[in-house]
Amino acid sequence: MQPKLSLLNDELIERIIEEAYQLMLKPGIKVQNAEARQLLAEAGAQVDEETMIARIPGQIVRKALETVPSQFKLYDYDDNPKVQYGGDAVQFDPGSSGISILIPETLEHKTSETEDLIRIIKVAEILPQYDAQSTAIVCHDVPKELHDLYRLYLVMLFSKKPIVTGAFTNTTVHHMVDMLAIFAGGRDNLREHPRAVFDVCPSPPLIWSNFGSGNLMALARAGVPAEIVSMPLAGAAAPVTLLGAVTQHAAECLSGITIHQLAHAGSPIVWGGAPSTFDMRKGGTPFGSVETAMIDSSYAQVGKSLGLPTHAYLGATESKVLDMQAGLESGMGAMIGALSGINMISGSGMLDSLLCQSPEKLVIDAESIAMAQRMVQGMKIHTETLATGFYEGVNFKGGDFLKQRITMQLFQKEQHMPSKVIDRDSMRGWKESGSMDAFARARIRVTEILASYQRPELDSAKEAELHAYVLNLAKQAGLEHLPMLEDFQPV
Amino acid sequence: MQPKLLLLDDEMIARILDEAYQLLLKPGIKVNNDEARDLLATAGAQVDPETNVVHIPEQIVHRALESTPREFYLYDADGNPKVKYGGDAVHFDPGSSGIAMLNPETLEHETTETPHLLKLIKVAEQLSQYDAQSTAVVCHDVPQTIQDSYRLYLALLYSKKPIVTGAFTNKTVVEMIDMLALLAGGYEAAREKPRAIFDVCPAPPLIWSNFGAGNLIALARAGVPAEIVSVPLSGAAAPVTMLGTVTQHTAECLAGITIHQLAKASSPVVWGGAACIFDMKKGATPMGAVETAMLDCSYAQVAKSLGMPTHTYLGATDSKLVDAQSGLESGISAMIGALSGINMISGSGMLDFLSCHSAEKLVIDAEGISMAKRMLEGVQLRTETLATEFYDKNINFKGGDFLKQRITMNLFRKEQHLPSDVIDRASMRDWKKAGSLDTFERAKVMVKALLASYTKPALDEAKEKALHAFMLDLAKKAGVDQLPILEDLQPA
Repeated sequence: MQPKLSLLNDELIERIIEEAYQLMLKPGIKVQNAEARQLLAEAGAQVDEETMIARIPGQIVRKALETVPSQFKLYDYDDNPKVQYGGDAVQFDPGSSGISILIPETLEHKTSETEDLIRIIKVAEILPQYDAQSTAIVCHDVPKELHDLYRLYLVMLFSKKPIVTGAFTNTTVHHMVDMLAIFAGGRDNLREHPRAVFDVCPSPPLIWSNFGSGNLMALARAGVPAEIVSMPLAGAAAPVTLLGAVTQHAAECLSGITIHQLAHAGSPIVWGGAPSTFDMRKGGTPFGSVETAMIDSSYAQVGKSLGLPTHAYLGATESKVLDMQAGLESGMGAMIGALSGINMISGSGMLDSLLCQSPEKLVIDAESIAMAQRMVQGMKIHTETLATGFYEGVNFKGGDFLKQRITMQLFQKEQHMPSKVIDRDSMRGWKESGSMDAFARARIRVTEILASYQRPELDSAKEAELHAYVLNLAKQAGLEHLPMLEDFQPV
Repeated sequence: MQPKLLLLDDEMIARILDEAYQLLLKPGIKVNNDEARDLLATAGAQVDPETNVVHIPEQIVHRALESTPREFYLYDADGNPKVKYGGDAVHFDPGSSGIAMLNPETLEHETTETPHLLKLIKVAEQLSQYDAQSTAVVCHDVPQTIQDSYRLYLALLYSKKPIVTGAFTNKTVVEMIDMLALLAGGYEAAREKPRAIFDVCPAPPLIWSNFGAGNLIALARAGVPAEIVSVPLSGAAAPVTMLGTVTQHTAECLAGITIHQLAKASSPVVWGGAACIFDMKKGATPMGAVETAMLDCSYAQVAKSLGMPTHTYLGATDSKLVDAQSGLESGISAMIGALSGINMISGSGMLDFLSCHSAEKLVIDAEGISMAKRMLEGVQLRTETLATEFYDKNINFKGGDFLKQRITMNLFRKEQHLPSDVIDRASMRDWKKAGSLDTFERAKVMVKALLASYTKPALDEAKEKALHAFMLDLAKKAGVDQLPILEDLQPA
């Protein structure tokens, strides 16, 4: 049995959904995209073109919910299904909102560039704890117009895993779908076996921007999965109560799903988010706070009650360095997310409230993820009797069980063996290997991983086509050459 | 509603209990204490005098379970009930098996002496996250024969909180009960409003040593709470499977409760432990492993099915330093313990497989505990409507709209736990301005502040004197003429 954390009872879930329906009528949802408003109006919503506020009646939303797939999969480069959206499947990917990277030698948060993203992709590619890649940080060495699609381009060249990505404009979302279609062998294949899911964010409170709703519609029509990342900020851009924030989250997701399904019924979409409490003292958005995790766990329950796939931002920290706070907040967040049965948990690797990525943190976070995944497997029955069969020849001696053959057979099934990043050494052994802390061990592991990484062999024709496609966009953005990439010589 | 983590279904719990009862018969329990064997034999168990193995039939155990109290309280020095054992109440106390302490400047694990324990007591006294003190580290500057009673003596002098303690021999448990009675004003008062609980450990697999069983009997008769700390080690001193380990834990606890209740029915006893998997690669006992936490969560479910109060060892790390590993292991396991509704969770502050304490880690662990306790409060209903009433005419689809609402200022402290300065939520600029300190550095600052703000509680002078005289007498019998000199204490 998969252990589950439930913060809401059925009655409360019903109340949340009921009030979310009320919010969609009053105050309504501000929809800043003309086409989305038109779709809503045609479906029967009352739209005020001046204020852009759409009042969306329950029946339109319910119809949308009926057509949303309750599950779908993401596929890797070789077309194997690797990520299951739906049910209580739990998967992790690195956080993807970074604008800087931790330099382990100086501890500076450096503005991120191409080489930094590649380093993160390589580390996440080799660690099995990451079920998907994310387009983890912005590369500031290419023009802004290319930022979103260039991230996807790099991941497609350096990884075979499924990808959690996102577009920054209504133009680039089409380009990015095109890029994925090049590798998939056409848009039909891409729809059948999507490699990537696109994060799409409403703006709190209760706003679907031109860009957000435009992305929803484009993705729905392309049949490429969309992941709603609703970000109610409890006390600032959402009610101060956790329940109020969860209710606003539900209203933002329900209205997003409605726009999405009106654009193309049956397209896959995820009930996700990156909510946070608001720290009144510091004005910060603590993604590592337990209340943030509680909002996530709660809205996931609401999503599950509607039979929807789920996503959340957890496993990150406010800390600026890889210290005990980073471990505490990231570990607890990852565990709560996993116990909530959330399908895709993004956020690993992130420091400083989702601003800064760190490959070293990715390596340490992978150990928390392994612990969370071990927990999700629950208690397992391996033997006919639970215990009585073990006491044959046991003579009330401490080490009796070490001699049993079954001990050697089963211990690796029962126990997750951590990497060397986790210290389980004796004091003497630890000193002999250099008295290193977890950060120092993580630095070594990152170096080892980077040395062992090999760029996957991809179809060279498709690779060339992808490169030409992105180079063309770069030229339109005024850039003659893309940054040089190691192990990649475009024709 | 208090959120709960469940790893076992009812059927599995029934199977575990069923097999534990079988283990009590075969292979039986080795009981190395004459009086305990006599009690068991008189009650109807079959005793092998040569091997000391006792085969305990189920009905004796059932009777013991019937007379065990479902709940009881520990009291502070002023007689206020502070710690509830029973139900799903969750409390934390510092770990109490330390023989070393982290020196924050040199990072050495120093052999502990009196000043180390005092430092830990002072820090734990002022952190509200710790519901009880523990006799956290051994003081190597006093003779071994008084090391257990001396720890309690210090906790009694420097703290008002309830105390999780333990004796190291069958002689000293009696002396420690005497000390508690001195402060309580007699044995009956110590029984009525117990200040302390005593950890008592069976030896895995399925052994109650002379000392363990003797302590159970002494505590039961004094009516002072006993806490069984069963320590099955999966794959070494217990079956390799987690379910097998939980079953052995059950058998050891059931046997202990039976001995305890046979000595004196209705005395309070706790279903506790420090279960652990065995790391085959390093030959280590990883207290921070998730499997260890899963063992604890599971055995707590077994205990709760019998209505027993619960205890466990979680919130510790195997790291030697206060680093990211320390944070993730301690934080995750504190959260799992809390979600398991375990009454007393011991282990905070501990590094290096429970052997080394750290005042700095105590301060940081307190933040993990706050998070766990906030989780237990669950999602609360604080307003008439969940959300709709927040969207008044002033809400105009602007990001900061809710900051202006009075209700935001009224409720945010109820909704959010505000962490201490040990947790960094500053902007990058402010963090740099404050010195770019990591968590460990911030914790060092906080420990210094706590030590500076601490004042020794005012105790009844006569009782304090009597306690000191009692301790000094024990010391003299142990061959030392004087106890270490304590600040703020001038015994007459």
